[in-house]
Amino acid sequence: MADGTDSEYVAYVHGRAAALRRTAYLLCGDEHQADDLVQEAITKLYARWSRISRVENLDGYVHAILVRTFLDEKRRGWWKVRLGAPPERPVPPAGQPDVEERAVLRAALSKVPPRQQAVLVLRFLCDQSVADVARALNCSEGTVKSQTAHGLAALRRILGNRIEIGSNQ
Amino acid sequence: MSDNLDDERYAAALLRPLAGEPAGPPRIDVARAMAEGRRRRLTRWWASGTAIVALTATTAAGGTLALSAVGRPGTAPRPVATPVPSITAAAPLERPKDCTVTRLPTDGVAKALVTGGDPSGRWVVGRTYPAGKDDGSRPLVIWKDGKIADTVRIGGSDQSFEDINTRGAAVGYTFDPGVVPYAYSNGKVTRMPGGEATVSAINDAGVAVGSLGPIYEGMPARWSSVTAQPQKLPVPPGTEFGTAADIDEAGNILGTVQPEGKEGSGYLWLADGTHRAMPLPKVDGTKATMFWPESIRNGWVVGRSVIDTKDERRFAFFRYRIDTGRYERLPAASGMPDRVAANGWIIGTARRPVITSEGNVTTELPGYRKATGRQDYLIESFSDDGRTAAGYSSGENLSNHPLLWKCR
Repeated sequence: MADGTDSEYVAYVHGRAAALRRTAYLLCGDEHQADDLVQEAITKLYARWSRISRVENLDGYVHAILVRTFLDEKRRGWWKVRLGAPPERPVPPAGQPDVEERAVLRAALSKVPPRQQAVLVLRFLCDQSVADVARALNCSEGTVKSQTAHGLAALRRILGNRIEIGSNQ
Repeated sequence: MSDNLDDERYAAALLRPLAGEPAGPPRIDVARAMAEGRRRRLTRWWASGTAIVALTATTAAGGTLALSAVGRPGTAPRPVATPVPSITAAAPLERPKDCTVTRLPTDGVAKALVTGGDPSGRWVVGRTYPAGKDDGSRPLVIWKDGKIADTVRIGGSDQSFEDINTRGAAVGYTFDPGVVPYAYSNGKVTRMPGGEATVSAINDAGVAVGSLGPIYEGMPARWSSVTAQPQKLPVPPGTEFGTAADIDEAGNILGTVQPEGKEGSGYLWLADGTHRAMPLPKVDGTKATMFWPESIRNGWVVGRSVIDTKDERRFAFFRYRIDTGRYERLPAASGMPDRVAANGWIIGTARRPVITSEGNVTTELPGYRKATGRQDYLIESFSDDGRTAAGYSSGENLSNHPLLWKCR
């Protein structure tokens, strides 16, 4: 089970770490949790490296591992555990409208079902195509579209009229 | 507020404030990921007596390929032969004796592995990793009676032969860039019909099985011969992916089907035309979540059950008889089953390969002495008489040796 080499793995992970972390950060909204997500994803990647390294679209595959790790962790309530131990991160300066808006948005997004959250983030913050998201979530493109619609409806419902589009532009 | 924007533009505008880069340096630890990943990969390092427990109950699209389990480093005594009390003590139980291991020749190439073998134990297929520039292309090897019978170059990359029958006809696939199925016979390689597909096994009648479509995301298929158009095997409604992994001489096909959004579980397409999901065995009173089969031979199937709880994934190992529909749980000393022989004997892997013969007597096969450091052994072939096996060792430094075990 050891076809891929360690050096290939190390080179690959170093090359992709920043992109993976960015996606993880957009998914969960927290740097520390993003690091944990990437750590778990690259661990899974190594455990399967010999088989996975020969997959044609490796980036897509690793990306899928990351997204599913995010979903699995959400399902397992790992987030709740993490919330109990506040990470030492800089508190954003208060009073700035965009900070408050971000907090409201992030809180609303976290109330949307996890798969819909992932669809919204991947499509509209990571600018991924419907096809790419379908691949990452292991579902059909039709499902991505319907999850987008449901997620967006849920987000609107949660936000009510609290966010004015473009208020910050 | 957004009446004039279509949904997509609305969504993009709505979420835009959340865009941004994570601050500070990343905290990922590649060395730790490798150490932990290696630990998960080495499922075969448990002592004995308990089910394997995986701490992460998650898999990616790899389905049954994904194997994240935690072994306990072997500090317990090596499994020894444990004959069960027999009432008919007069007839000694048949078991393998005087087992030896040899490295298959590789023409000077240091790294090589075995990917399959035939039911007679005479043919073995594998691939080599010649030193020098690595373009991803792997020369394939066919061994007969322990000697190189042929070496084959196939286009694409990461080529493999997955199986060979007693006539020396082999099947496999290459990445070019999608998966392309190939057949080999008498020194000649031909592309199999069906477009993008993987092929996993071939029986002596020349019937091959595999899956049509991208790797890990295909549908189970059967080729009545390596030159025939493949036919999709029937699957239950709601099946997203599936694969046919193995076929026996009667034509019974073993595979897995994966309902949408879930992992795969065992499925049988029998020679009489019927097909059904494999039942889920009970483990200590709890019905398994899935059954992951490994191999079919002469109406026997071996594999493992999966039980998911909130925090962990447990495996238990079974032999299943198609005509009776009964599961038999294997003793811990049998290891994780890899292959079953026509006589019902099983080869599995624990610290080393183990053959389980009549009366659940277990016989541990020798390790390859020239491989230094800790080794995993992976079994890819087991003969119908249960006395010849082929596989390879996988060491800490990612070395591989193609190995052939023979017993009397």
